[in-house]
Amino acid sequence: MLFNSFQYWIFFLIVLALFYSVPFRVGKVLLLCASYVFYMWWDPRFIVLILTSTIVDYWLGILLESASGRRKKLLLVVSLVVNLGILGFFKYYNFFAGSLATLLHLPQSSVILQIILPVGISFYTFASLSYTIDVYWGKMKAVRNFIDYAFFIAFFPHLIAGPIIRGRQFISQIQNWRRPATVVVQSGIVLILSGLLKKIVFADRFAIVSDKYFGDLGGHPGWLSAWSGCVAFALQVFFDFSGYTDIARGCAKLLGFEFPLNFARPALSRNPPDLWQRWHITLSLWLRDYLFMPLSRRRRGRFALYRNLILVMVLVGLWHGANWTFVLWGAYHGVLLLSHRVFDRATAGTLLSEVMRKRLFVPFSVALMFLCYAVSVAFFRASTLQDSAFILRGMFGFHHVTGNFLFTTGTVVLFFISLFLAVAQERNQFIDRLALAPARVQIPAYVCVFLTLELFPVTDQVPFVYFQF
Amino acid sequence: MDHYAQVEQTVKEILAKQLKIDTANIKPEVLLAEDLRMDSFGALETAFELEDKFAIQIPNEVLFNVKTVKDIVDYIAEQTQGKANT
Repeated sequence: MLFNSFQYWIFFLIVLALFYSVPFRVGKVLLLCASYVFYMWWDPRFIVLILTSTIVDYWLGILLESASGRRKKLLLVVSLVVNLGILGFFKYYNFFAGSLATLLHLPQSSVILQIILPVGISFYTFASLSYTIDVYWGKMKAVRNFIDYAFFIAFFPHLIAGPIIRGRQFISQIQNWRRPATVVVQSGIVLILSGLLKKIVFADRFAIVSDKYFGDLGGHPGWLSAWSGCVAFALQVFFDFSGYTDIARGCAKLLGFEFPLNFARPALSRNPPDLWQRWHITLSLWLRDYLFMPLSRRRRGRFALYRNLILVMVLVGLWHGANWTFVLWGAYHGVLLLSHRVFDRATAGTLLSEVMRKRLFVPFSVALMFLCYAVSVAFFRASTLQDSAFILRGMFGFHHVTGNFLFTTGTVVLFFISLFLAVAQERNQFIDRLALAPARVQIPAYVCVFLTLELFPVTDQVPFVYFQF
Repeated sequence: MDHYAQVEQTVKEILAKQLKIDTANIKPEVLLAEDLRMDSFGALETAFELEDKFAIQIPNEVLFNVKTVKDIVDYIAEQTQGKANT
């Protein structure tokens, strides 16, 4: 049940109508059941996994609250083992077993299992772990109401592809739920429409260009083809994931819940740290708070910090997918962050640093950062390391041919429209302000969006990129 | 020099060393990210140095939410007030 399918919107409207026709204590049970139906739509068998994680962490949370010393540590270890064990087996078993088999020259067939990756497992595992770790650290009280806890884990708008929510932000919303104000409903509608536009009109159009390149790498040698394909995918993934998150946040708002911001125009990032403060924000913050900071507090020193940064970024890559291409993608971004840090320290207080702070320099730094991101697409989108190497050789001129410019006139126009809209949103938040505008502004805007969605959709329904993670 | 002024002076010196700027340019109301261009990594290095200097622990919530130099000074001065009085 994809967010860009007719089926989902029928499901959502039925759930919305039923939810508001009963008192909230019944409504939240109804939403929980609807969330499980939504999840089982992909594969009913995997409900067992989400229920296991929910039941285990619910009980561990209660036990953790009153425990101390070694027992408390042991309970946290149980939570980590259960959650990461399930995630590790379903997502990473074949990757590690296959890599080991290659290393030991064993046949792949002797170790590889037929495992289907359960949708959303990386997202709800991180949500569940944040809860037990926060209770362990004493940052929140354990939840005593099982329905509330199960609802936090399974609430369908965030279940499949985030944003990664945390117990201490979300559970209080369940306990203190209020019917959303009109302006919140309007803001939810604006978010849903903006998400659909990002996905159907922008992401799916750029997908045509990137699929053309990545679907037939051998047929597209040359630097122009490689840069076209990678830039198109970079735009596709920005719009795709941020479109998904907008729809998720909009649906949550209509049901009276608030999800954290997950994107803030990452294509306009000026440098690597800025990118990670704008792109998949909830994942960056999760890793910062639960991995990077505990590691960095344990062992001080600049070298330890830099080492932790690379380690965390490699794990960010691995979180995205069980493939060496993702490991290199993460490592590449780690190196970018580290290089920026070293450069920043080396140039602090110099004339170069002053020049780079000028407004005039911003478009150059944005373009440079975007191109650096486009290079990382060679790892992110390629299926194998050989493909990544082919793309990189193409990008940096080692194919000794020019290749083809794969963008059509329409997608070039779309690129400039998206740039204009992103800059406008960055400057005056016009999308957010639309929800506060009078009806004479809102209604024509909604009509325009509906017409655009009706007139410019891509014929095939394209799944969201982040569903595979 | 009173306790608050001592903390303020030390914070300024650590920030100046970290950012390679003159202490005279570090005013209490200066924004760390926007004016001093301090990123989260720089904030972390500075925080660790401040923690060692004042023998306190700055929680993540404080570390990543302080906006100005004054915010840091206020927090540290409050945390170390007891030590200063004894």
